[in-house]
Amino acid sequence: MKTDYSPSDLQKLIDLYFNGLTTLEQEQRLRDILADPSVTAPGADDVRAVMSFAAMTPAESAQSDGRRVPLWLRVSSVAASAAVIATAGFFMLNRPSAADGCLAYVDGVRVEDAGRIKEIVDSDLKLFGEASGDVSSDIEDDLLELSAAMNTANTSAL
Amino acid sequence: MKKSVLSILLTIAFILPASAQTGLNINQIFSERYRDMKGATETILSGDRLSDAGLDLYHSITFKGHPELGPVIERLVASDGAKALSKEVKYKSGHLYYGFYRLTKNGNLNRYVLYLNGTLAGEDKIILLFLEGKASPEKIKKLINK
Repeated sequence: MKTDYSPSDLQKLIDLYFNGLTTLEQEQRLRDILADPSVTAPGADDVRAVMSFAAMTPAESAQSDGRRVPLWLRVSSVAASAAVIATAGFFMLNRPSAADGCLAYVDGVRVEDAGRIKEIVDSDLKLFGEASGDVSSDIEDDLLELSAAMNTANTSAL
Repeated sequence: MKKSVLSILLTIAFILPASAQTGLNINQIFSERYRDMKGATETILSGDRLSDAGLDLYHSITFKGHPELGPVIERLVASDGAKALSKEVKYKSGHLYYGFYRLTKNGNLNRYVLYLNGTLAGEDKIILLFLEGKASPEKIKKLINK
């Protein structure tokens, strides 16, 4: 499919997409443009990766019986599909059983061993703790430098 | 026409309390496509196991050996983080290295997104973590700093 667009249009759509601000029409337009693998732009490959790219052709989206569907029904169907997907996502998030409450997938393999999952969680939290500690240290260092600079400035002024 | 009406009826039948992560851009990463990648680990904890931490949901996904996902996830985190109630971030080499975001509430539950791109610091791990519960930001900080 050939879609007319300018490089600035494409970049604007990519930026809107990653800011979560695209309308349904804009997202579809972006999808149509990026269906062409020769299209390149900063962030285009990232969008393709996130969209799990699969463009729809006009033929695939047309009604099979040829009848026109009222706009309100088409919009409602899109909303319905989105709601079903969100619902599926809701159930995915709630996959752990009521009994266990813990579940992991490692390289696509399901893991229910609580001990192993605890190791994974502890390891990740430790990394976050170290990074958070770094941020606190950076803030302290910056404040100390500022304080020293202010003291120097005050001394000079006197 | 009948299929569309059925879709609408199914929608109504499936109206449920909002998913913890519904409406978040990072939700795109918590999907089968990314979970099944080699080097990916998705972890989900809920219920009694989290009660001491004041949480209802712990949902993380980590990637080893996929530095290319850093920019992808960063954009989604930044997009959700743009609407955060509070944030603590650190950048390295112009990219988001660490982010701690307190998002708007889901009902009466606090929501947090934590992100760490270790590939920017010589490590090989990228972690995206979503937390939900009544725990305060201070309690979350204690959890990760213990």
